Amino acid sequence: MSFFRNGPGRRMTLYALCAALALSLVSCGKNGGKEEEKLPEWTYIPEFVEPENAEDISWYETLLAGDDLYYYTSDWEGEKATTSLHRWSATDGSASEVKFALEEGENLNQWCVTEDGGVCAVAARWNYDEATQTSRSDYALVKYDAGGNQVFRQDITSLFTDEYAYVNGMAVDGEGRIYLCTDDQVLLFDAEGNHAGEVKLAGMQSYSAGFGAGKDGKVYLVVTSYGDEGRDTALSQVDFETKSLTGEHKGYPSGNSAGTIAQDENGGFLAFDSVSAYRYDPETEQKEKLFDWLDCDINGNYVRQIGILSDGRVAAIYEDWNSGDSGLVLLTRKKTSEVVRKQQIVLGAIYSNADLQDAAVKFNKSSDAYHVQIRYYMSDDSWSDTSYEDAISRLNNDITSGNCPDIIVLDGLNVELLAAKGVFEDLSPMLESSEVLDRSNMIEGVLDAYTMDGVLTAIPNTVGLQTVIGAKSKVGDTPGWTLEEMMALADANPDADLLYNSSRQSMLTACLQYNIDSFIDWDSGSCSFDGEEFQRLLEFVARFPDADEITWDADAPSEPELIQDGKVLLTAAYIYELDEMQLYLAMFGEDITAVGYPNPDGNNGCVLSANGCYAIASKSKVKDGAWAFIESSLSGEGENSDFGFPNNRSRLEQMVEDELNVEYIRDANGELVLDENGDPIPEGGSHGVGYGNWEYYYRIPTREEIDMILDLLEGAKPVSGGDTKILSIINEEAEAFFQGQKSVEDVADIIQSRINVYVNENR
Amino acid sequence: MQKRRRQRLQGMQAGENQVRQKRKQHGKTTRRARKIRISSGAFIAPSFLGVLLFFILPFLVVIYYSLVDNPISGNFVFFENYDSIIHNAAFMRAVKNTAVFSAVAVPLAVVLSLILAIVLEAKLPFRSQFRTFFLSPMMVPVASIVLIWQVLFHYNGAVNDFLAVFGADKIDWLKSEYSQVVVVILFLWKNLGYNMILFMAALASIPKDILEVARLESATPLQTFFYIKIRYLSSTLLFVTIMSLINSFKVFREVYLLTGDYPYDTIYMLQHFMNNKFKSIDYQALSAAAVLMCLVMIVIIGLLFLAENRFGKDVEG
Repeated sequence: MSFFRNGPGRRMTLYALCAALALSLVSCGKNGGKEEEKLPEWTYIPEFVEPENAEDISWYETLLAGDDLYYYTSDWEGEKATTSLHRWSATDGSASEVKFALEEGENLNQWCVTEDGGVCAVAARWNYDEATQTSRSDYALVKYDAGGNQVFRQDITSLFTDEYAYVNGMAVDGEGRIYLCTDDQVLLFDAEGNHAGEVKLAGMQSYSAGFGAGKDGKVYLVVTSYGDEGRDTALSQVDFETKSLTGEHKGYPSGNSAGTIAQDENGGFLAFDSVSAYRYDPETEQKEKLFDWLDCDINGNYVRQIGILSDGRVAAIYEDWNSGDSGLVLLTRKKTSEVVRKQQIVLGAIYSNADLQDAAVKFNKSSDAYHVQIRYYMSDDSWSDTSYEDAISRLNNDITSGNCPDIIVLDGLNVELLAAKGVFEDLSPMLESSEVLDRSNMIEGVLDAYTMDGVLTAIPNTVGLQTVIGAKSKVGDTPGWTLEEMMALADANPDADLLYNSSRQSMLTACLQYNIDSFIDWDSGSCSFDGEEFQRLLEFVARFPDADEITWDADAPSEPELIQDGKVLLTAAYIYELDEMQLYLAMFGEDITAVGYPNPDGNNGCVLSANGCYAIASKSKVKDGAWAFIESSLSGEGENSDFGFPNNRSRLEQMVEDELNVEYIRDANGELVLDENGDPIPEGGSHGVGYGNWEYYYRIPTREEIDMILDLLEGAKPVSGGDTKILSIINEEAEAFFQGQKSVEDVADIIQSRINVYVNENR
Repeated sequence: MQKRRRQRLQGMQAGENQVRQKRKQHGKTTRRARKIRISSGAFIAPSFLGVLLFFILPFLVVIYYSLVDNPISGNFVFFENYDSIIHNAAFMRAVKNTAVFSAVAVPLAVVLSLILAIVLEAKLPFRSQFRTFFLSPMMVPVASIVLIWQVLFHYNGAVNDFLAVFGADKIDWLKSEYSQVVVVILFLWKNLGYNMILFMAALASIPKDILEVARLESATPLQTFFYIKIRYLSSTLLFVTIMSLINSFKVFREVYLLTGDYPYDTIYMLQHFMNNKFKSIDYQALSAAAVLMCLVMIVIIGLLFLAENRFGKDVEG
């Protein structure tokens, strides 16, 4: 002790404390601004390869096994198919083929390859009994050798007691024993195809998320289960001897890897989700991210299977059902320091979606200078009640801490709030000077909807519309009405419902989403929710049933039937195609008006929902690159997978022209081919929609019907983000009145008090 | 004469030598003192740096945020934010509610806990069980407190059921003028035990001989309490008051869980205002409100220290 009291001891203690403090501060310090995205040690370089006869491949029916890609083709003669199983080696390009014949009427339900080059398959035949009008599928377990000769055939139909049973996976272990995975069990068969038992899964709270054989000759099952603690994904081995799942390993990546299993030479497993690929080590129950699909110029939503080749490369099968761009990609691992990297642009989004990845992949492939990487704020891996609020908090923290993404996807955000804080760059000057985009070619109403305080925050790629439609004889012929007019319509028709299956909650939202400002004076901060008008609204909404009381009844009349019987007055319309109006005309059977959601301003009450809304952060250091991405997403090059109407007059006009000028099918003599109703059949076929017993088949829309939609488009507005808080307060408090616990005056007073606070706080 | 001159010279030399020695000693002392100051400062440095890093610098950042238009652009706007929030009706409502709550709850917490401490100081049976009873709310997790309070004070809760037995109408405890009462009860329930323990410890440390002398001098219990005990308790009173004031702000946690971010206006507190401003990235308003609140707290605590100094100085060592 005296050592520490005296000079040398005290000095040493002092130095030790200073060193400890200095070391603790070493981790602090940013790069004077935005934190650099951490670079991975390895980069996977993609090589898109084309197997032999790639044009014949149905990529949905492919399989990776070892170094080989397998796919099958079928030649039909009547009801009998000769199936060819093709093999193509991803390492040396060699190819081979095995032909085998199924029985008449059979098709392949599941299949896998055996170690000796043969095929094991479940053949299914669908049988329909005219007398009883029932259908049934017969299943057979079949094995063929490498020469295509049948080794055995076993009828396994009796093993499927549930008529909806479906084989979603098949595997063969190292001893040739066969495993079939359904929703609730794994069926076991010996090497001769004899049924040897089954392994039951845990019931409705769990489902098979992956199944297959590993390189070690064992068969594995990935099970995702939902319990009190949330979702859990575990890898287990299917033990043939004990007829059970053994060796459970938790923490398996929960993206479902398209239901496949891929094991590497060291006993680890490759798994993937729509964003990344991982290596899972069952010994440590830890997963390690290998790469993001986006860094390999692949949209992870389209990846179907992944595997490791003998030369260490990763192979992935992808299938883009939108564009048809499908194939096989081989990924070679290289040190990141050896790879020339483009300038990174970070795109921040709350939710993940395939369209976003499509846009990023398209841009990354076309740009030599920039590479977009996506930062998702909500993880698909884990979800809780507060996931959305946590994601918003993380985004807000990034915005204010200097780690703001360069591009921000506006879905799910309170755009007005962020715009008021100056988070977004004004896109108007960029749009004016763009050589790719033309402002005059855009829909000005859509641009106005995203201009706040003079700042153009985003340019939507496509938009959809939500409105309310009623018969012209009931609602008049002018779009737009007030809350009083809507309530007057309901009062005048006491025996009819306003909307089909509308609950109190949905009616309250419908009545208020455009009417909140009629109860609020934002200038003075005063509210009138305790007034008679709002109380009358609550009493009106109280007539409707609670959402929990509405149950679907298969035998109940459909919405169109109720409308035509005069039992329902209005319908909520979601319009994303130019030919939608005819559906509602047919529903009502008379002239209609898109009267919209009630509002005090006299506008058409049509809600605008936008897709592909990207904003550039005002603090971004790569605004040029960010703008190049937006130009790429809006330029319409290639397929546009976004749903709805394009925010581009030329493309919209082309859509109109394509809708109106339809070519009909003609016979060899040039005569029109007519359908059973005597109507000509358009090329490309027609489509229809069914509501219970009511069906409708679309025809060519008229110009007037299309103009109705275009008029709605000009006047539509998005719902304000701030209003959702007010709506949630009203919904929360009004419940007590709807349940009969409090009077309408008391509830109105409480709503008035709470919203008054909100309004004054945010004024 | 020469002898006297020699003696004087010798005396002067001795004096000079003394001065020189004293100067030498003083120099040594000054150097030593400086060394001690440097090494003391170095030992304090880690704590000081921690306080600087986690308290002082963040406070300066808060002041910065209060002087700019928003955290993104950072344009300096002087005192516009202060002017804006002072004229904000929600902020003034929050200030009023917080002041009223603190003015009612803090004195009650101090006085009631002191009374409890005095009562429990007496040799009552089951004294330790009573002590445990009052301390146990401190150990209850927040989620449980919220659940208990909802069960009790919900519109369909136990308290209204009890009142219905006597024919009284239901009271909307959390969404009416009574909501402040509920919050005060919640605050007292949580904090009385802790304050009581502090007072009990302070009462136990009062010198027994002074109390005995007072008793011998025929002082009444009230005189003993006000003239002796209170003076000895002055520092504890200050501490308990300050802690109660701080804890009065912490009750926001339970109120937020019970009533959400926009409660009935009588229990809309300053922390609600600041929490909501944080969520909406309105850091400038949040910071301005925090700085104003800090200034008010400095004044209050300064007054408390002055009071303690006045009433307790004669009992300090």
